[in-house]
Amino acid sequence: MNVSIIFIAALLCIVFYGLFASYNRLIRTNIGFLVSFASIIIFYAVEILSGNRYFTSLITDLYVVSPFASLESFIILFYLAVFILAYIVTRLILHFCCVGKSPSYHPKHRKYIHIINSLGFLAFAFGLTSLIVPYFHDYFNMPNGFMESYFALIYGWML
Amino acid sequence: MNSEERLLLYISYSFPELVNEQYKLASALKGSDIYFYLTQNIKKCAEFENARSKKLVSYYEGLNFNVKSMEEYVLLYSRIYFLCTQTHERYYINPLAIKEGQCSLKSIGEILFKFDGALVPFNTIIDRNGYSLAYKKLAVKENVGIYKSEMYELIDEKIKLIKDKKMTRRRLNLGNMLSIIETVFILVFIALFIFALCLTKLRDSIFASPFSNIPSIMTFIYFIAMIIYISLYVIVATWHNRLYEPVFYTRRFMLIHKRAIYSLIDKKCLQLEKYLNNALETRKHLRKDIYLFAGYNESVIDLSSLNILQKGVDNRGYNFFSAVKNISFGIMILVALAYGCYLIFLAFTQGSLFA
Repeated sequence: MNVSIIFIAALLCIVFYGLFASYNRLIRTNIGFLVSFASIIIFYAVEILSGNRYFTSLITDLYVVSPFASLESFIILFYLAVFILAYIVTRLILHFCCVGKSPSYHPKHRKYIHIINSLGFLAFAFGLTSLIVPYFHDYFNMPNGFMESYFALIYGWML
Repeated sequence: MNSEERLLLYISYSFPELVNEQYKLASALKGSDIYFYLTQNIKKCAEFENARSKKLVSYYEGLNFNVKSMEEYVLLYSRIYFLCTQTHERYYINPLAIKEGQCSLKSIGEILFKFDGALVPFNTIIDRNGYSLAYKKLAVKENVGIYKSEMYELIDEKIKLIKDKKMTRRRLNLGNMLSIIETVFILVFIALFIFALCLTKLRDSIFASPFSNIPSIMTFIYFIAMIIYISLYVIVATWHNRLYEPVFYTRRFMLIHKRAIYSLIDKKCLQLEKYLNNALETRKHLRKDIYLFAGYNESVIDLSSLNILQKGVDNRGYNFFSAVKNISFGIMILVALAYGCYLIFLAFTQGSLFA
C-alpha cells in the first residue's frame, strides 16, 4: 500500500462523478474548482511577486503551533474551503434565479459543451488529487510508490 | 358491421340462448385493422400533455373485451370505431401544449374547431360563406377559451401533484434514510481505513509490498471493497440526480414562478386569438405554424418530466446499478465488520494497536 495506489483509486472514484453527473452539476462544480484553483494561483503569485514570501514562511514556521502541519496541509484546506464556498454560492444563485434552459432540453451544441465540461472536470479532478496526495505523503509519512517523480514535481512546485 | 354480424345480432335478440359467438367476435376484433390503427393512435395520443388526450387514453384502457352478449359486442365495436376516429391528432391537439417536433400536423388550420355545432378544420371555417365575421370570431374566442382552460387545468394538476407528493419539503422516508445512512457509513469506512493505515503499529507491515503478509492482505481487501463501493455510490448518486434534474428544475420553477406561467398562458392565448382573427379577416389559409404558440416549450419548462414523480425512473442501467450498489453496501458492512474484528483481535493478542 502506498500513495500512488491511493492516488489512482481516489481518481477513479472522482472520475465517475464527471462521467455520470448532470450538465448543471458539472457546471457548478467546475465553477467551484475554477475559483479555488484561481485563488491558489493568486496566492502564489502574490507571494512570488512580493519577493519576501511572507505568508509561506509564516505557515511553514508555525509547524508546531499552527493547526496546519505544513504548507501542503494549509494549501489543501484553503483550496477545499474556497471550493465549498464557491460551490454553495453558485448553487444558491442558480437555485433562486431558476431561469434559463430547462435541463431536459437538449439542443445539439449542448452535447459538445457537456463533453468539454466533463473533460474540464477530469482535469480539475486530477489537479485536486495531485494536491491531496502530497498532503497524505507529508502528513502520514507514507511511501510514494511508482509515481514518485510526479509527486516530487508537485511537492517541489508547492514549496 | 358486415351482414353476418348483423344476422347474429338479430338472432341474439330473437333467440338469445342460441348465440355464443360474441366471445370469438370480440377476440377477433383485436386482430382487426381498425384496432391496430386505434392502438397506434393511442400510443401517439399518450405522448401529449393534454386533458382530452388523457381522457381518450383512459377510454381506451377501459375497453372491455370480455363481452357476455351480442349487445355488449356491438357497443364495444362502435366504441372502437368511435375512438379510432377521435384519436386522430387534429381532434385533441392543443397548440399551446405541444413540444417541438411532437406533432405530425403542419398547421393550426388543420385542427378541428367547434363551429356551428360541428367540428370543422379552421382553414375550412375561413372559406365557409354564409356566416358573419363576428360569428366566426366568436367561435375562435370560444375555442381559444377551451385551450386556455385546458392549460390552466394542466398547470393546476401538476402543482397539486407536487404538493400531494410532499415534494415541497424534504421528508424522511425509506429512500432518504438509506442515502443518509450510506453517507455516514462511507465516512466511517474511510475513517477506519485511515486509522488502520496511519495510526496503528500495523503501518510498516501494510506499507510493505501488497499481499506480502496477513495485515497487508486484510487491508488491501478492505481497500478494494471500499473503492468499489464508493465508485458505485458515486455512479448511482450522480446518475439519480441526472435523471431527476428536470423534475427538480420544474418543481422549483412551478413553485417560484407559478404566476409567470399563468401570465405566459394568458399572453399566448391573446396572441393566438389575434392571429386566428387576422387569418379570418384576410381569408388566408394557415400553413406551417403549428409550433408558433407553444405556450411553454421544453427549453423553458418541461411539465412531462413531472411524470417521473408518479412512475419512478424507468432506466434499466440506473436500476441495475442501484440494485448492485445496495447489495455491495450490505457486503461492505460485512467486510468492515470483519476488518474491525480483525483489528480488535490484533489489539487483544498484541496488547495494543498503537505503536
